[in-house]
Amino acid sequence: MVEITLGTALAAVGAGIAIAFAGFGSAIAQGNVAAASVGAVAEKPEMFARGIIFTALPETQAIYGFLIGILVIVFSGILGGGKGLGTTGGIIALSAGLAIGVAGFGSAIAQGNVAAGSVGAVTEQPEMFARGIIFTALPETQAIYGFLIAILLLVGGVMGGG
Amino acid sequence: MFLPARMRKLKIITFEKYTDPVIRSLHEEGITQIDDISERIQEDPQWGQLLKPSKPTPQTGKIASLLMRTTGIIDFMDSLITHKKKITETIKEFLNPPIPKKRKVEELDSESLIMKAEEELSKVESTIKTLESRLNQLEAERGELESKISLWEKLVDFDINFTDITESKYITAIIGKMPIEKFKKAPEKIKEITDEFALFDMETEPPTERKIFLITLKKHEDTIATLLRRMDLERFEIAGLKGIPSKIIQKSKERLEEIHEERKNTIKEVEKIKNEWEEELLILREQLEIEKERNEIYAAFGETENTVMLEAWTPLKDCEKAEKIIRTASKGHCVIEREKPDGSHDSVPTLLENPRFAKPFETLIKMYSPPKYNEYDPTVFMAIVLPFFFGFCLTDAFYGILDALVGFILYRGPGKVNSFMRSFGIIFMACGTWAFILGMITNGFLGDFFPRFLNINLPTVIPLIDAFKEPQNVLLMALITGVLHINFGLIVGARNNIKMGNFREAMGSQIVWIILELGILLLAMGWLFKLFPLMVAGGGVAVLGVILLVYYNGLFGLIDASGFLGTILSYSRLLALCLSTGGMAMTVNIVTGICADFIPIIGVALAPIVFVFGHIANDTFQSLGAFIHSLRLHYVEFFSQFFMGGKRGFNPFSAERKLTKIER
Repeated sequence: MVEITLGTALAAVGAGIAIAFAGFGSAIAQGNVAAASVGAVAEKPEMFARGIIFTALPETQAIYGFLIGILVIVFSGILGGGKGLGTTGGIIALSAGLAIGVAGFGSAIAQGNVAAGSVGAVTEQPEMFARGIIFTALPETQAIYGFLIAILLLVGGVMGGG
Repeated sequence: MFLPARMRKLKIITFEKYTDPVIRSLHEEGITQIDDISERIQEDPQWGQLLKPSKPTPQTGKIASLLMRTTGIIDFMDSLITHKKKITETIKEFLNPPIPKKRKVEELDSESLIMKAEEELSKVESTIKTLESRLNQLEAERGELESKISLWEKLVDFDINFTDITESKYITAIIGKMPIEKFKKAPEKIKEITDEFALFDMETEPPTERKIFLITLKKHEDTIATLLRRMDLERFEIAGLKGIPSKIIQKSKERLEEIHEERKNTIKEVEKIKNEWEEELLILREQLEIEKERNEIYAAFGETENTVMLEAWTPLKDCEKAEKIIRTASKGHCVIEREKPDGSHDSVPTLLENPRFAKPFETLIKMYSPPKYNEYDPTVFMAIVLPFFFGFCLTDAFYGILDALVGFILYRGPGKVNSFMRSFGIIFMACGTWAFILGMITNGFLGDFFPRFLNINLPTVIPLIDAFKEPQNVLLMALITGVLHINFGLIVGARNNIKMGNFREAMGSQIVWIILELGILLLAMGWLFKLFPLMVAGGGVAVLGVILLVYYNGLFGLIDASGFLGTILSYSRLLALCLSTGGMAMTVNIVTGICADFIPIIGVALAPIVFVFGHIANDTFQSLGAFIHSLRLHYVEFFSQFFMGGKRGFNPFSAERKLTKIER
């Protein structure tokens, strides 16, 4: 069993925040897109596959949150046992969780809105699919920033001996 | 292989009398796409001087009307007669669908087909119309009876003959229900109007209300009714009702039963006609649909007094065949000019042409957008990489076997009659195979089934990329995969742009990124191996990359750098999905273990159920996720490096024959 230090506990909170916020945002966003897709499929059954693709897009933030959560758990030694993480390392891991959690939350909500709009556009004009995908991918940038900072924090801080 | 099929435009002029055989032959062959030139004739004065736009043939309207009548009869019969299939029958039919036999039919011209359709419809339509109208009458009568019963049921508690009331000159009845509280005050209030009334009441639903029956003189009806309405009376309309409620209800119900029987018998008659005529009508419908298309296509042509001109896009490989068909059909009375697409390629339809293994993936490209005529067709790249990405996301050997098996069933079962199913069957088989291979080397077989239940490790596992023990290595592998994938896209994009003469676009959108990456790679290698000259060289290349980036894209190019980084980081989803599949599978195994170890007796029976259904559910959801995210990595990350698309696909003028074949 791992020794529970303050650092380990902070890292655990960080892992939780990472997936909780990012997942929360993704869930709301996917709900909106799924609702729009159901309407679209009712009108045009051939929209099913495209609706699923648009609905899946705002899942990325949850995936990033999940990934950072896993990396925090692995790097902080929560799973592996042994000596606990130092307080500084714990704060860094918490920051990593916050970075992706909060950025992912906002990004997911925004992406959900665009994706829902794109579903409507594609229902009207099927050739809008490619452009809809491109527009929907744009609000993902903020989640990528959060994800990048989280990775850098983990690599530099926790893995680097924090 | 990497470009859409080369196309040629065939400009055809023939005599008016040979147009019909030419159209018929081209329609049966289905290798050309007819271009509409009528608009050009109307808009371009030069063309307008030579030609006038053709119109659909005079028979088009008649054929459309016959088609509507035929479809109407088929739909009517289908709406009445539905065979409920047993679940086993449905599964059997799905796994081994019957292949419709094509019936040989004589090649008929429009007039002959119209005559044949008229003759066939005359035999069946009048009988069907009679039956349809009988059913409509029965349906209407049933509706009337049901509403009658519903009204009489409200009055059934009053065992009187309503004829006495509704036909009386002097008295009238007000019947309805009202809240008990208000009912108690009603007699007093009515007495303020008149004493000439009798009021009866009885229990009703809900218990807070009371059903009332008030008899009074006709002259007081309006005043009392207004008063009671103010007291929340819900009045039952009895005007015109005759007879005793219970008897009328009984009679109506008897008639309803008769109607039910009559309806059943009529449907049996329809079924008999369906059995006798369905095949003929379906064949007739197909023939009429094809004939309608042939007659409507004339609107896309231009004509002079004796000649007709049409233009048809044809794949280069089929040009000779198409020309031969036209010459034979017109007995040589034609002029055919083969024209290369002009420089803009704006009007050229895109026909994807790929090797057999990549064909099924064309569906996914078409769903995104068909490529431009001179643009690289990414189908082959996708056919190679998408199954690998799927395997990476799923990374479970057993799930891979299951998916490949599902693919095989789709391919051999419904794939026999449905090309979409056949395509997805092949895609699933490829995806499943990769999931199996990657699962075997990253320690994924029903999650941690081997170490947990059998206390052994998979012998094929490469410890360095054991997904659960060394996720950072798998993450690195995912990112390297991303870098390779993106760079491949950049190279293709650069070649595409240079080929089209867009050198500046190639530099700004693709080559600068390759230079920048090269610089960073050299820098990293120099730092890793402590080679100072390599670091300097890397730094130099990276600076050059930044300068070129700003030169070609302005200062916004620097912002694009974060986007580019994000594109590569997006490939980390490969690891995340891989871990989520393994994690969920592990959870199913843990719950199975808990069931078996901690729940007495039932647990032993419950554990296999949890295990089987848990893993089936996990495989289903994770496979769906893996497929969609693999698709996304192509649509969003890969295609954005080079693929523009946005063209209309090749839509051949083709007679779709599912039930018929021409007797020659």
